[in-house]
Amino acid sequence: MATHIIAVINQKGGAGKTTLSMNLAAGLAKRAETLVLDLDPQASSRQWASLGNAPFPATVKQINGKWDAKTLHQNYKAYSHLVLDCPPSLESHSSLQALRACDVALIPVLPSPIDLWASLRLPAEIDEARKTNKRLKAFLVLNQLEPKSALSAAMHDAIAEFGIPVLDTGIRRRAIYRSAALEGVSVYQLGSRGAPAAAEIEAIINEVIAS
Amino acid sequence: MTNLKDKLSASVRQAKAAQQPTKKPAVSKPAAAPAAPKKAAPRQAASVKAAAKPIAPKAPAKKTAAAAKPAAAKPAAPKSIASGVADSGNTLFPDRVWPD
Repeated sequence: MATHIIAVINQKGGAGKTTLSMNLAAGLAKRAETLVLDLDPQASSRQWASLGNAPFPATVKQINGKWDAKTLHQNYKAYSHLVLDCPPSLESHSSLQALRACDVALIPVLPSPIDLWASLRLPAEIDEARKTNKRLKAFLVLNQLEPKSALSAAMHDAIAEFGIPVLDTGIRRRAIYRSAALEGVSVYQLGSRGAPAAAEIEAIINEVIAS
Repeated sequence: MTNLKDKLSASVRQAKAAQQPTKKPAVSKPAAAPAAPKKAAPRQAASVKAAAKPIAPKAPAKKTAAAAKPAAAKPAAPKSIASGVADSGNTLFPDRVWPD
């Protein structure tokens, strides 16, 4: 079976790419062998995985030099799922290659106008990538939602301007995501403390797999 | 609430529109690129040389001042428009001083 590649991408920093990548990978690792490729020079994924007392559920590696879709499929065919944690830039080689290589691009967006404005270039880049990667599906993932915030509620309408479908499941703003990073684990490993967050990630995985 | 929704959507549309004009030239540039580089390259080289010249003789301070003069002389042209009126602003002992 071919490796299923998910790119977590947004040119805006602090949108939650690494948080989503790592927890998504942990959830996918419960189903099959999963690898996180840390494409961000800030190496946050690797830092995250290195902090835990026990090994992180998914393998986390970095990739050096130039690469493309073929390289990924050849070098990582042992993995069923590949999660690409992209850098906060669309100009980088890795971001462009990630869009050309992936089956699904997940774009975390925060419920803030600044984040929306900063992410506006993405639809064009996805259209461009689709010229070479016909199977590419892209979804926006609303991150750090605050149910009582009017701005969070208003996001659904504003985000329609992107012309990219939005996952039904949004990620709520929860301190447990930050705690998980600090402890070097995923929300799945935090028991009842992490259960609501793990349920969100599970719902995202199910939506992505069903897409 | 509706107001906030409209405001947010409008701001996204505005940001989108603002990005589009800046994007078009970026796309057209590569198309024009094949013809442009030959002409652009000598210009760049020339500009580098020109920029290098005034910097190179920096050591003798008088020369740089002299080199700067021709550039400063150009703005002096409007002086002739105010014919007859002496500019006493920079003169140590002007013939005529305007009253306060």
